[in-house]
Amino acid sequence: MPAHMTYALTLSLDGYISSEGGQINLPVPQEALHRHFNEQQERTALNLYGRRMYEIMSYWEAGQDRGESPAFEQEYARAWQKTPKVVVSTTLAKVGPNARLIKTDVEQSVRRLKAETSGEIEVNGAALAASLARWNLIDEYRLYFWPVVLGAGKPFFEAGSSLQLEPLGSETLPQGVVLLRYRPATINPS
Amino acid sequence: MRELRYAVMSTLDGFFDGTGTGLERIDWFRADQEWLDYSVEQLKETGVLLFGRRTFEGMASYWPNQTDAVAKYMNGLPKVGFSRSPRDTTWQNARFAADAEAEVERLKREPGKDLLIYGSADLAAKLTAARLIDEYLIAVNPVAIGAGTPLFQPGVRTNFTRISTREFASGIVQVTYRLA
Repeated sequence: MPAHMTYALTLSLDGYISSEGGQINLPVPQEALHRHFNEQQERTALNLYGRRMYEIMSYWEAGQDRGESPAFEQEYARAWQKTPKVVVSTTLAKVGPNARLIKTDVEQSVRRLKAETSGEIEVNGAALAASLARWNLIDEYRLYFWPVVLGAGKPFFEAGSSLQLEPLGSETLPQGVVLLRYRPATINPS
Repeated sequence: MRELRYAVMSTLDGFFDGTGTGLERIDWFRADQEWLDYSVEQLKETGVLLFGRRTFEGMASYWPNQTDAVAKYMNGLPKVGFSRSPRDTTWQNARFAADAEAEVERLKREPGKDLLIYGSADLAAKLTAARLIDEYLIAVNPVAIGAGTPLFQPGVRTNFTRISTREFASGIVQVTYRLA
């Protein structure tokens, strides 16, 4: 069984994942919502990152001092650290513990990774996800909509890409977040 | 005081109108029988329909020739279109007004069933800025179209509170928000 590949992201109601400068202006998850993400991270067999997302997520690396962090953040850090990570980047020279780099031949490398992994691969990073969608490698989209309109920023999907999807369900989560889950449509509905 | 609801179809990537001409622009709507039944229920609870100029003209060229259950309400209900320049219309029970904020404030104070905006993102942006919209019913269709007219105008940050969600068999998830 090849892995189930999921593109997961948090975004504003108007479809932005960050400001144009890359800062994340979305609200910060508090404990109840964080625990949802902790469980999701526990279930993840492998994280597949673009360069920028990897740099952001490296906040959770071992050795960062979070002695004063609440228990739910420490739990997340432990789950993240023990999950193997693969980073797609042509510019990074090295990556941290439990992570390796894909620098060339991205499509074939990711296809092989998917074939050889069992369980769920979570993809983070809009540019990477757009490439994977073009190669029909994404099995599921998990969109966490915050109840906020940002008015400007980086879109969750690159401009010009269109997608026909089938719904897999929705969940209402703490802090007004709505999770919408989709898979690529297998038939054209029209 | 009557409430003002804003009901709009959206793509997953945040567009309320696509590209092309005429009905091509909205060929991604998943308006199946369940959706039409829901629309009729919603229209039954509506006293006045409000539209921006562009949505008004699209509706006014379509509904007078239709005879289905939705058309009965679209044609029968009182309607106000908003346009800065004076305009006439032949659509029954319809008129234009110029000052959207003042007209909505006046309509909200009148007795009767609630007010409803369909489509009309520019009008909704103006009324959102004036905090005159009580509920946002955003029907997210399971499609990304990559290009079109954004539902929310660039440049303004707005915080919402989620009220409820409803799933339709067509794949539409309608999320209801109020301003935070």
